[in-house]
Amino acid sequence: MHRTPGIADLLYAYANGDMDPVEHAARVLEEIRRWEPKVNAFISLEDPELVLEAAEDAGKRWKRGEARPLEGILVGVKDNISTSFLPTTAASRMLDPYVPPYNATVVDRLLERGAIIHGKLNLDEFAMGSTGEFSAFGPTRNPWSLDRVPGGSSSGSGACLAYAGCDGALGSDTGGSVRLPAAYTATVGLKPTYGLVSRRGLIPYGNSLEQISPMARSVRDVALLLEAIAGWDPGDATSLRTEAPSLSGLKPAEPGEVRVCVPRGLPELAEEPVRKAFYSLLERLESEGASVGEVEMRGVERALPAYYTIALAEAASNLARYDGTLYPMRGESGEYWRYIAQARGRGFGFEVKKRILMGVYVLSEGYRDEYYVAATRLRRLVRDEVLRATRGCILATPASPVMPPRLGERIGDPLKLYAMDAYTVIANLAGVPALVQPAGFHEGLPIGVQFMAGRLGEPQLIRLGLLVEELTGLAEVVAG
Amino acid sequence: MNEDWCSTVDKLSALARLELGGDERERMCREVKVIAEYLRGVGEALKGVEAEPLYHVWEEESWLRPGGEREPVDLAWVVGSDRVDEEGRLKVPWREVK
Repeated sequence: MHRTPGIADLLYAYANGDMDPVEHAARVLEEIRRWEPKVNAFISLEDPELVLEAAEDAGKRWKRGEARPLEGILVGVKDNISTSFLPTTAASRMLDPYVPPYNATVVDRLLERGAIIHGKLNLDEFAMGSTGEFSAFGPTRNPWSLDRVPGGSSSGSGACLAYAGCDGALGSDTGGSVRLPAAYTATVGLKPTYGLVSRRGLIPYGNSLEQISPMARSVRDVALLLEAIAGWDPGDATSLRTEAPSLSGLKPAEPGEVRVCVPRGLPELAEEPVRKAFYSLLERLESEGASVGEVEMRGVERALPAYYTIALAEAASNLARYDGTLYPMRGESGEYWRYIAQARGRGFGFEVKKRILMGVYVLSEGYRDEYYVAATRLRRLVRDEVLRATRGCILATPASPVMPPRLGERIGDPLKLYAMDAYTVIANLAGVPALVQPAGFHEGLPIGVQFMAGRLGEPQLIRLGLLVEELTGLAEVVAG
Repeated sequence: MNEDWCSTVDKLSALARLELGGDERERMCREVKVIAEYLRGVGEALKGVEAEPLYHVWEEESWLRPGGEREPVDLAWVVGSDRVDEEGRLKVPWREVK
């Protein structure tokens, strides 16, 4: 393990002339050349010459005093977020090599602020997975241990940060898809309040649950990225009419003002090393003066099946658009319905097909009330419980019940795979923000902790995250 | 029992317009059964609980509800003015076919 400068450090160094963006970009490209054959974090990479040219332009802007907020920062973007200058495949044969006609709003916002987007990052196909193994372009490996997964679905986002192949990354989080990778790669992921970040240009999976989410190697850097991409977008009907929150200047919380609650019984679902790291961090917070208690929350123990029921139903509806006519994959038959079934059969991987079929099942006549409507009723219960609990404290849980699994260890059993999301889906069902950051290491493998606040409670999470970072010392760490 | 689930999978594949190849059908029969039984557990948590369905976490502030404020989005703003004709209709295809 060693440390590498994060976004805030780089901006400071550029501003003072201590580092040149070209020198930095060349270093990042070198890390990519060194690690990518082993890790497979990127699906497509921008031409290195173009990246260096953009860095040169950034350097000139810094010298002229015209630098924008993220001038010369290299950001990787998950490949289910539309870019008009690089293919956007969602890691699926169905879309390869689709190039969208427009940029997602978040991509435009990053570019307007001077960030350099140097590649598109690997993921589970259509963001459906928790390990990063369901990509049509091959699995991503965890730089901390190459026989382990980096978590998913934003597997490339976590992995590129963990080997310093990017300064920041965008992922998307439907049920934990940036927070599991953050936990498994010793990085930081923040799923924002539902509606705070525009979803325009995000290839949809579960519309009512997902948010484009920033990842970085420190809490400060995640705050900088979120500040850049958040805020109302008239192109997304679910976008909140609110200004981007001011986060980058926040100071760490004073321990005495922190109140943390643990949902009763939830941490006990986790493996022993995870529980140990979690409680050890809470003890540390308490010894510094924070208040740590427990809270009873009805329904959260069944949040996982409720989440999957809703996500699968939304997936089946969303993926109906891939009919072999509008996107690259085609069928062969001259018979219309057969042609569509062929194109879909060829274009989707097994996990995606399974989720579509299950989505159709839970929405079918005769099953709809028993499955889908029951799940939406439980969702109300969970949301109301989370909103009630977060009025008085910040909720804390482990980020994942298990340590980073070995490749192949979980994907054979769908229930074992889904169980990895037990802690993270709660925030998606409730629409509240959730931060995952490193809590510690066990036998060289990272362990993450999750904090959840009430709606638009991102500033509280950032302040607590900064305090936790001071206590653990685990910011800007990279593998190798 | 698995045969029952295989007939369910066949019906679902037809509804979803999805062809299953190789050993996918057999594997799907096993996994769909396991997942369906697991998801049915949601109902148990609701015994004795009064809760209306929730489809959107910000339901009380949805602008799509009657009476809510909602400004129409201009098509040219979304796709770019070069892709919209004089009458405000979308021009397709968006790229030139060579």
